[in-house]
Amino acid sequence: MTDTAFPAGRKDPLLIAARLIAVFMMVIMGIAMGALLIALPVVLVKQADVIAELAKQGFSGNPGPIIWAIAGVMVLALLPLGLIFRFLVTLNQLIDSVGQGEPFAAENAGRLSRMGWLALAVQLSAIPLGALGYWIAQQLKGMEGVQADVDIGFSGNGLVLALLLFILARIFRHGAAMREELEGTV
Amino acid sequence: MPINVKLDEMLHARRMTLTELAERVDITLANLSILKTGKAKAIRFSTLEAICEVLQCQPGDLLAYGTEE
Repeated sequence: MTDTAFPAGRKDPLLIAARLIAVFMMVIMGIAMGALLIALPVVLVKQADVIAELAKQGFSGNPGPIIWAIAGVMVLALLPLGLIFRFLVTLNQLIDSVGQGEPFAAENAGRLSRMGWLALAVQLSAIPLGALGYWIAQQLKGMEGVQADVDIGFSGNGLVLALLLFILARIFRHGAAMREELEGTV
Repeated sequence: MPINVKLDEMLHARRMTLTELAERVDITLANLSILKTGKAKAIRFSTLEAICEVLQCQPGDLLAYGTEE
């Protein structure tokens, strides 16, 4: 079937903007993951320097658990970043398929469903990250010149996004079946 | 599929090719081929009407239920 209800294709400004934003965010996620992968061994190898810096800032407690907690935050932060990266890759594939004028494909229903699970996994992975970050913030509270606020955790918006994606996946599955039937109509 | 499309026989009886029919009913050759080979899932009334008009036949002449070729 050559005719399509989505003739705008690759020149559609919405699709161009969506693709640009998705690629930009993928780059940001890539940089963030790279920075964490570099910083993680540095924190562990240069523990003495970190302890010295904490002492200089007026930290009086046991610095050992803090260092391991910082390393833990870095490891835990890699997971949601990786999940968001995968989400964006799938989003890009979805945008490409809409650009090609074939949005109602079973493949896209699968992509939306996958994105829903990824959005949910991002939310769940943020819980231990937020908890550990909060613990570090509590330990560092009151230190001179240190502002430790943590705003990471389970978000209602993320949950709504996941639900929306699951529902859209169902709509697309239905749409794909309808399109298949239409293609067999002469 | 228990619905058999007898387009081939109708064309043969009228000494008409599928390409010729496609041109006269303004339906793509690909779509008519899908219909002829029994791969179509549905047929529009407008398609049926156009074919019947050109072939001067009834829908029942084109379609049959459960009869083996």
